[in-house]
Amino acid sequence: MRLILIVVNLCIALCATAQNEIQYFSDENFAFEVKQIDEFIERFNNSENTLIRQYIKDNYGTEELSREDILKSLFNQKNESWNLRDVDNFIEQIINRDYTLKFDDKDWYAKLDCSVDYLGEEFSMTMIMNIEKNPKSQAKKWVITSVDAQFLDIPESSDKSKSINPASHGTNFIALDRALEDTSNMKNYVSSGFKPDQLTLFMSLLSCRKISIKQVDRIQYHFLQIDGWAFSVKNFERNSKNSGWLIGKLERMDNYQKNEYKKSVLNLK
Amino acid sequence: MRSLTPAFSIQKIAYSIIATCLMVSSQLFAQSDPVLFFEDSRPQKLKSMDIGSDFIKYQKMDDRIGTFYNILKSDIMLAFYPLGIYYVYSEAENDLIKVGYASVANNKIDKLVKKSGSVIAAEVIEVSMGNVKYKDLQTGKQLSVLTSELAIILYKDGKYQMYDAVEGVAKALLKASDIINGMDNSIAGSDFTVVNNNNNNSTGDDMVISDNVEISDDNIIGEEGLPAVRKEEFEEKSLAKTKELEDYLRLIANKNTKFQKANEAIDAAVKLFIDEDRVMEVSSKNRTTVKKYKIRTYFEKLKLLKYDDVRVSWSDISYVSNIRKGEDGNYYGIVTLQQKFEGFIDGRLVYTDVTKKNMTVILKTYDKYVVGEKQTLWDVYLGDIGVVQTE
Repeated sequence: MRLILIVVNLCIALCATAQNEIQYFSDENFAFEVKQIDEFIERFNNSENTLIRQYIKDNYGTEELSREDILKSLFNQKNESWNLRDVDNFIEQIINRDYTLKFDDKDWYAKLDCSVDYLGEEFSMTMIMNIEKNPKSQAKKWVITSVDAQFLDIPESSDKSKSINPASHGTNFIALDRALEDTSNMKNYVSSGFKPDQLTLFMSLLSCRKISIKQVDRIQYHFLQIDGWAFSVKNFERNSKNSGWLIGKLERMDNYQKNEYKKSVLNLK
Repeated sequence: MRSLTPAFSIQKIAYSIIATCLMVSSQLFAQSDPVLFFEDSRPQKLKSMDIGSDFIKYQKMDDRIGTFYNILKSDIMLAFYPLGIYYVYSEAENDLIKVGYASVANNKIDKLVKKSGSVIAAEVIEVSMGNVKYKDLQTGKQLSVLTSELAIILYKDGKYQMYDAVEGVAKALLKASDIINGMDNSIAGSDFTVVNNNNNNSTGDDMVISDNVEISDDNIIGEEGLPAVRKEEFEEKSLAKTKELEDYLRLIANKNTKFQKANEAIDAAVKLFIDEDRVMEVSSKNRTTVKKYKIRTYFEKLKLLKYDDVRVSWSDISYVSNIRKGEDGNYYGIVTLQQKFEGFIDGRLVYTDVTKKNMTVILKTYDKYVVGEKQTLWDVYLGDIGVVQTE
């Protein structure tokens, strides 16, 4: 009976949400909330001695909490469009193959939506970060792997006819300086297949102090290390047991699709 | 000659009365009372005691209301709180020295602290008739010592017995602090008396090394590559630092705190952080913009908020993440807790908020040489703090 209660608490958090909206200072909600991505990983891995297990033991008098219950509680249950079959298959696979997430796994990324100040104007920019481990010292750090912002793209040319003429070599490219001063048509002067490396541009602007980060508006974590699946986790800040860092999206994905996802969503090469 | 005899008798009686009083006062605080002794030797039994960077906050044992009293560290000569730890004020260091005498590292050893400050590592067998029978853990022999030679016995279970006036005990314990800190259950039998006090603390003089917890090799927490630190110890210390910070915030925001004291509290609060560049970022789930302040600026702003009374309450639950080594050699973790802040003016609640705080905690290690051997010690500092207003 107690177990049923817990599962109800964990899995039917929608009801709890409605009741708890009126609460002001709830230890219960705070205990159930996935407060950090570290806690998400702990719960995903079904680690022992976690805060939630201790809380349930202390308050519900049971330790009978299955990994399935915990995994289900890690989904955003306010999303009514879950493909429940996919969710079940995913959970089944995690349990059967005993998958765990490690902090220094290679294939998980933080996607940060940032506001930046570029030459006195505010712009949006996406930054992708992941964990890098120093094999010698075992030290870990977050590193920037890519950035994506419209203002870092080379703008479309205003006059496609402008170019460095085919006889320029005859004059030792005497007109090169004039061409490169024409910043409104920059795209005409580089190879048509050229795609600028935005991270390099960003670093260059940083070193010239022409850009600065104002704030991080949103964070989403993308986990691609589970065979056949990708899921993203974001922070659902609300007065509910089902709150905090939760799975907001789950997709079946083979390796090819994951590579495409990295290119299109994470702006990785 | 005749005139000298009564004088001698009176002196003798006086001595015996003094000695009896001394024994009584020692006995009064023997065994199992957490107690602090003010600089004038006045005792105060304790219900609780929190030691900050500059201030000490305590509750009296017999105070039903549970009033908190704040005093400076220099107001204290000696304290036992909780049992198993003593604090003794060092004028040279202008600070309280903390010594765990019943810690995991040395809780198999009774410490017979002589008035000279030397320490016998012992297993006490019997104390009677002014004599202590013990097994000397260095030699394994059964020996005895007169209680009149001793300042105090620190028992391995945290209890203690004083045999000298408080001032004498404090002096002996100050001298013995490095010896006791260096004692280790596993090295019972070796020479405890040679201790090199050169603290090779890379954090600099202005940093707060509030504890000398030795890192043992068999209590590893978290992931690979972490120092051998017991997770509970790290969690306790991290939470203690975060609570200490909130005590200062409460002092700073209270208009009854004198200007000078508020400034001292700001300095003390800043010292809890690894450096002054740390940032307090305040966001709200109902607001898109985020406000960022360097810690000192944040405290200065808080000082301008003048409430008659400030109440800070906490959720009973807090989450402490695993710690991970950074490239700078420090170890980083996050403490998440929920806090309710209430500000009162003229007895009326004029401001309240509920916030969730994500506080970076940094475990910093430093080396200390004892008997020419390097020991790695650690302490916890605060880093950047994210505050989310949830209500």
